Parts: sequence; structure tokens; C-alpha cells
Amino acid sequence: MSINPLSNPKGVKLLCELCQKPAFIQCTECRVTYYCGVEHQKTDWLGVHEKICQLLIPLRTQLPFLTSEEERDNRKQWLLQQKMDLIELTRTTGQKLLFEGKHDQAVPAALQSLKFAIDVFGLASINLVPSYLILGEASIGLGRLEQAEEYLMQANWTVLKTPECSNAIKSKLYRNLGLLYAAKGDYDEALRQLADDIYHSAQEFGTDDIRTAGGYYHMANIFFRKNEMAVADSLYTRVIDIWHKHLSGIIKVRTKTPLVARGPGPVFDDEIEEEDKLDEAQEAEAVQVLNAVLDIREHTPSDSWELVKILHALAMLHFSLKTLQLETNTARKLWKSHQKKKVKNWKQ
Amino acid sequence: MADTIMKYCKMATMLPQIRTPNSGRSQASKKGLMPTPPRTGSAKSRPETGLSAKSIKLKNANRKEQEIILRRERLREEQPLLSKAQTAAYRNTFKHNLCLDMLQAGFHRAFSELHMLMTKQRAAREAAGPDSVLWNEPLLENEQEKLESMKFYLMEAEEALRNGDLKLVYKNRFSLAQFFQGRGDKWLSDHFFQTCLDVSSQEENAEERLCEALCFVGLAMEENGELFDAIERFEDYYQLSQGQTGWRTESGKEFHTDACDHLTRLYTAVAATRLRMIKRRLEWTTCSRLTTLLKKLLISLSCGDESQSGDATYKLALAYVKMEDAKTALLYLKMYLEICEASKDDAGIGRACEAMAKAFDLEGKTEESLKCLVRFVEVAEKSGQELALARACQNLGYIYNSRGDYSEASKYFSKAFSLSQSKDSRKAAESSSVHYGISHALGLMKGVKKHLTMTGKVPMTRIINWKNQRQDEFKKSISLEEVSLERELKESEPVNSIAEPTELPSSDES
Repeated sequence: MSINPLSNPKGVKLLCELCQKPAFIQCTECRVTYYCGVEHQKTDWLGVHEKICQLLIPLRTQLPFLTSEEERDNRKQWLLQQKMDLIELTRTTGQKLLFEGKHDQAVPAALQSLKFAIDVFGLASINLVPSYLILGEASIGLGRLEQAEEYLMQANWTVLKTPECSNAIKSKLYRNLGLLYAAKGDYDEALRQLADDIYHSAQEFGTDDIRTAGGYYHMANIFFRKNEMAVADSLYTRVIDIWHKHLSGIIKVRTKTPLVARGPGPVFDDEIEEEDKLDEAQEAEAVQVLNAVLDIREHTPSDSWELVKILHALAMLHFSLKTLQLETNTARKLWKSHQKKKVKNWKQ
Repeated sequence: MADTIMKYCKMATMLPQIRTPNSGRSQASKKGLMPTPPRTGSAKSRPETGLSAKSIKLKNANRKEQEIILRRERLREEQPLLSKAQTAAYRNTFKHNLCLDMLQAGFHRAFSELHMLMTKQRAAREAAGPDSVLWNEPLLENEQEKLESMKFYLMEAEEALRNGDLKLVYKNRFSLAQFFQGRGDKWLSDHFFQTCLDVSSQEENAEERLCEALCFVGLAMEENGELFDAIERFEDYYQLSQGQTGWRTESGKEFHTDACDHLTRLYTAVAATRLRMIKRRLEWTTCSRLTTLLKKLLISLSCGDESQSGDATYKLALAYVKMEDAKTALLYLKMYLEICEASKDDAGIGRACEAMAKAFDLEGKTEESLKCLVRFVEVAEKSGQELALARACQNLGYIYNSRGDYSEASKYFSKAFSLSQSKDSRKAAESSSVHYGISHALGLMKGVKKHLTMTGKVPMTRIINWKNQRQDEFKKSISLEEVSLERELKESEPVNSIAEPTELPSSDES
């Protein structure tokens, strides 16, 4: 037997947006979202509700009465599109929060995206996997490993049942699984998953892409923790090489002197090289990875050349992110190590 | 039937699991609502079924189905339990597992190399299209044995690289290259030889290995037809191995001699193509390139045996003759002659004399060139080389011809003709018969001209006679005529000389 609050219309059960318990308060902006308490409302607002509040109204209010078949169809189409957009929006929000390290805030967004995805694609669709992955990653970040495993296994199961699943998704899934096992301390299994990640990523992007570098980096961390320094060292070197190369490419395009007009007439710049920009996630990853490796290198006796290379890569990164203060700091450091170790033939 | 039902059962048990994670984190900790971790893979290959799932199935099914399920359970229990890695190995392709094994152990470079090779092969195949030979060749990823050996050696090599032991890296890559060479996989062995070269060039104090790698890369390039690149490699090899007597190949040959041999072969091959080019159209630049090449060849031969270097000298001289630089040509020819005389090589002496004659001819010293040719004939006669003799006779014929000594010329030409005919060499016989005809005609021209200019009855009748009975009349007429002609000249005055001579030369010429 359940108790229904008197204020609610009979037969309608209002549940909390986050925990699915009976709800007692309502969002005053949209009036279609309910919470069990202020705490949950606050979490949701910070996580995702702020962005999607107004968008939820048409989805949750009753359909207006439409007379013609055509209108109803149009309405349906429009709703579907709206939901798709919401999935996209909530996912990017979640992803961004994850990269900023706000794992707890990412959860509502991910849950929201999962809800819409199930609504649109059904339960067993491959389209659910990205949401599961965000949830899994957030759970790992929060240290709730059991929950993370649950989500990731769900994703794994879906991927297994979908043979035509793309390598990019697989790679992401295996990377998260690897991180999960690493957090659990099961290093062998983690290595196996990360190996799978690198394999799929290499299939999709090539072995020396920055998107594959993440796999190498996590693997290096595990070897580092296993105290197999030689392997970890070679992997870190590889990661730095990949990032260094990529960043050099970006800098090269950006600092290219534009063509100067010779004589009268317009300049025909035939080959405007498309600069492959780092997106938000990649920027965050680059900062994290490079700093982490730098930290390790500075605390272990290592090749001065390696150190210089990392510093150079970091300087380039800060340059491309336009964080001038950090850039000058790094450049100064680079200059110091340059002086100290007397590395020759280094072009700055 | 039972199978499909079971599937649906499983689906049904699966469905609520998905709800639970969404329905809130606070509930998820409750054990009852927790989804069992999904079993990976198909239902059949999974021996490990949870107890709860079993009981649910048994409850839902009727008796017949229960029996089937129970029997299946029994059968499964007989199978050993598989670990996650094992199931993955069962599910994935061979290549996938191999890569995973490598990566798991941290051999990322080995993996990258393997991946690169496989994509390269695929790309080459796609580019070549389905009609090509490449299309029918098996893909690398399907050849387990090759992949296994590559994995083994590459992992060893990477291990060695981590420890900074470049020698071991080289060794492993080298054995891999040799493995593929033995299999006839040229592109793979080429790749690994090239990496051997890269490794050994990074290594310090490893000239010996560098030499070896250079040699193999050079050979591979030669086989691919990249002769000039190959020559570059071998020249490096030559430079490096100079003065190192201790370095020997497997067969006990010194590296330096080995380099010389390879260089000689390549230089000769290139020289041959150059010569062919020159024959087609004489180009000074190709000629000069040829001479530099041949000079190099001579250097490379310095450690080889005499006869070969003599040969090269001869070729070099010939090239100079072609370039019309007689002095240098003569210098080399004299060297060659000395070599031949020392080794009592009659054919060689003959060739030298012949070429010298040509060179002298270029300089305009006909006397000298005659002398050489006479010597050539002598040598050829002595050694009984009939073809060479025929050539000598022909050359002598040319010279006499050019000096206007037509009777001598035709004598030699006829000799050449008979010699080459007896040797059954048709081409030579044909050319000498033509030349014989030319010199003969040239010899006749003098007499005919004289007769034509002298009008009168006697010369006219002689010409007519000669026209009627070609050869005989001509021979006689020359000796007899001189006297009578002069007599005629004094007496008769030209009367009707215009009509007849115009008729005659035209018939003569035709």
C-alpha cells in the first residue's frame, strides 16, 4: 500500500527526478520536474537541469488536441527531434563535467541522457552505450566501483550483442573497463582491457593518434604502479611523442605566415590548411596527461631530452590554449633545463 | 523451440536490470535489485550460469523443457570453466588475440609495427585492384605462422630496445628478415632489413653490423630494380669495410671483397644499360657518366682478379672512343694490351689492337692504325680465331678503302667474306659482301671515268664490252687500255661526245 500526497491529483504518482522516490517539491521554472527534497533539486540544477529546464516543458505536458492526422505526425516528428537534441546536449554536458573532474555533477546529466536514449532507441540499442560510459566513468571517479562495474557491464553486453558496433565506441568502453579494473587493483585484467582499447582505437584512428595515446597513458600508469619501470618509461615516451607531434602540427599551422600579395590583385590562398583543433575534452586530457608525465619525469632520474620535450609540448599546449601566464612559466622552465643540461641543437 | 523460449526467458530476466541503474543510485546498492553481470558471449558457450538464473528457468519451464535444461546443465558441467581471457580468445580473431597479447605485456612498438605492416598490405591491395596478383595473395592477418614468428621476434627486439641493447635488437630483426627471405615474402624481408639498417646506424661502434645491413638492403634494392639506390648503399658498404680484414661473411669472404664484387656487378649492369642507350643515340652526357662509372668499376675491381679489371679497362677505353677522346682511349688501351700480353690472352690482344686501330684512325694516324690492324690479323691468324680474323680483314679493308687503295681493299673484303661465310655468320658475310661490292665499284670508277672523258671509238667499245660482260672485261681493260688510250687522246678530237656519255653513266650508276 502506498500513500499518495493529498495535494497531488489522484492516480498520478509524482516521483523524484533523481531517486524515483515520492516527490514533494516542484521546479518552479518548468513545473514539470519534481524532487523528493531540496538537496536533489540542487544537485540536478547544477548538473543539467539549468540547461534543459525549459526544453522539458513540451515533452512532459499533455499533448494538445490536434485534429488532423498530418498535424499529429508533425508533432510526433518534432518531439522526436527534440529528444534527440536533448540526448546530445545532456551527453556533452556530462562529458564536459567529467573532464573538469566534477564527477558528482556529471551523474544527473548522464542519467537524463540515458532516460531519453531509452525512450527514443529502446532498451537494447547501441546508442545507450555512451550514456552508460559516462555514468561508469563518473562512478569510478566517485569511487563507487560496484556501480561503475554494473554500468560498464551493461554497456559491454550491449556492445557484444551489436556486432556492427564501431571501433571508437568499443575503444572507449574498453578504456573505461580498464580504468575500472585498475581502480579495483586488478592490474592484469586492466591491462587486457586497455590492450583491447588500443587495438580498437588503432583500427579506427591509427596507432599514433592522440585518441590512441590515452590508452598508452593509462597502460603506462598501470605498469608504473606495478613497478615495471622500463615498460612504463617507454610508454610514457610514446605518449609524449604523440602529443608533441600533434601539438607541433597545430602550432605550425597557426604560426604560418600568411601569403603576401605580390603586385596588384587579390591574394589567392589556395591551400588554407585546416587546423585540427583540440576539442574541450582533448584539451583537458592534454593538460592532465602532460602535467602528470612531467611530474613523474621530474621526480625520477630520466633523460634530459625527454624532460625538454615534455616542456616544449606543454609550452605549445599553453600557447594554443592562450593561457599566457602558464606558457611563460613553462617556457622559463624549459629555458632553465635547456641551460642546465646543455642540450644542443634545440630550436625554440 | 526450447532454445528460443530460453532466449526469451533470458531477455525477460535481463530487462529489469536496465531499469535499476537509472532508477536511482540509492536503490542500486540493494542486492535484490542488482542486475547479475551480463554473461558475455552466446548462451551455449557459457558454462558458468548463476544459480538464480537456473532456478528461474526451471520454475518457468514445463516438465519436458525442464529435462532438456537439466541435460544441458549436465553437459556444461563436464566442460571446464573458462576464464574471461579464454572466452575472449575464443570469440576474437587470431590477429586480435595476438595484438592483445602483445599490448598486454606492454609491447606497444611491436604492435604498432605489425599494425602498420598489415594496413600497408591492405592499402597496396586496394590500390592494385581485384584483377592484380596482389589481390590473390593471402593477407598477413590470416597467416598465423608468420604472425607468430613476427610477434616473437618483435617482442624480443622491443625488450632489447628497452634495455638499450641495440645489438640484440639488430639480431632479432635480422633473423626475422632472414625468416621472411626464406619464405619468399620480399616486401616483409625488405622492411626488416631496412629496420636493421636503421638500428645499426643508430648504434655506436657497430660498423660491422651496419655493413651487413647495408649489403642486404642494397641487394633488396637491386632486386627491385632500384640500381642507383643500391649502388649508393654498396658504396657506403665499400667505404666502411675498407681496411677491415677481420670482418667476414658467413661463407668466410672478406667484407671488402664482398663489397667489391657487388659493386662490380652493379656497375657492369648499369654500364650495360648506359651502353645500350649510347648505341641508340650518342649522348655526350651519358658517355661521360659512363666513364665515371667505369672508373669506379676499376676501383672496385682493384681487389678482384686481373682479367675482370682488364675487361673494365677495355670497356672504359671503348667509351672514350665513343666520346672521340682518342688520347685517353689509347692510354687505357695500352694498359689493357699490357694486361693481355702478361696473361697471354690472344683474343684480348686482338681486341686491343682493333680498338687501338680505331683510336688511331680517329686521331688521323692511318699508318699507326694500319700497323695495329696488321698485328690484329697476325694474332687472329695465330690463334685461329676465324671470326676475329674476318673482322680484322674487314677493318683493313675499310682503311685501304679510305686511302683509295681499292684493289687491296677488295682483296681484304673478299677474304673477310669467305671467312665469315665458312663460319656461317650470315650478317658478317652480308656486310663484307656489300663492302666488297663498294670497293670493287670504287676501283672501277676510276677507269670508267677516264674512258668517259676520252671520246673516241676504242674507249667506247670497251665500255660497251664491259657493260655486256661485266667482270672479265673490266680486269683486262685496265691493264691494256693505258697505252692505247693515250694514243687515242692525241689523235682524235671529240665530235659527238655529248649524246653517248650521258647515256652511259646513268646506266652505270643504276
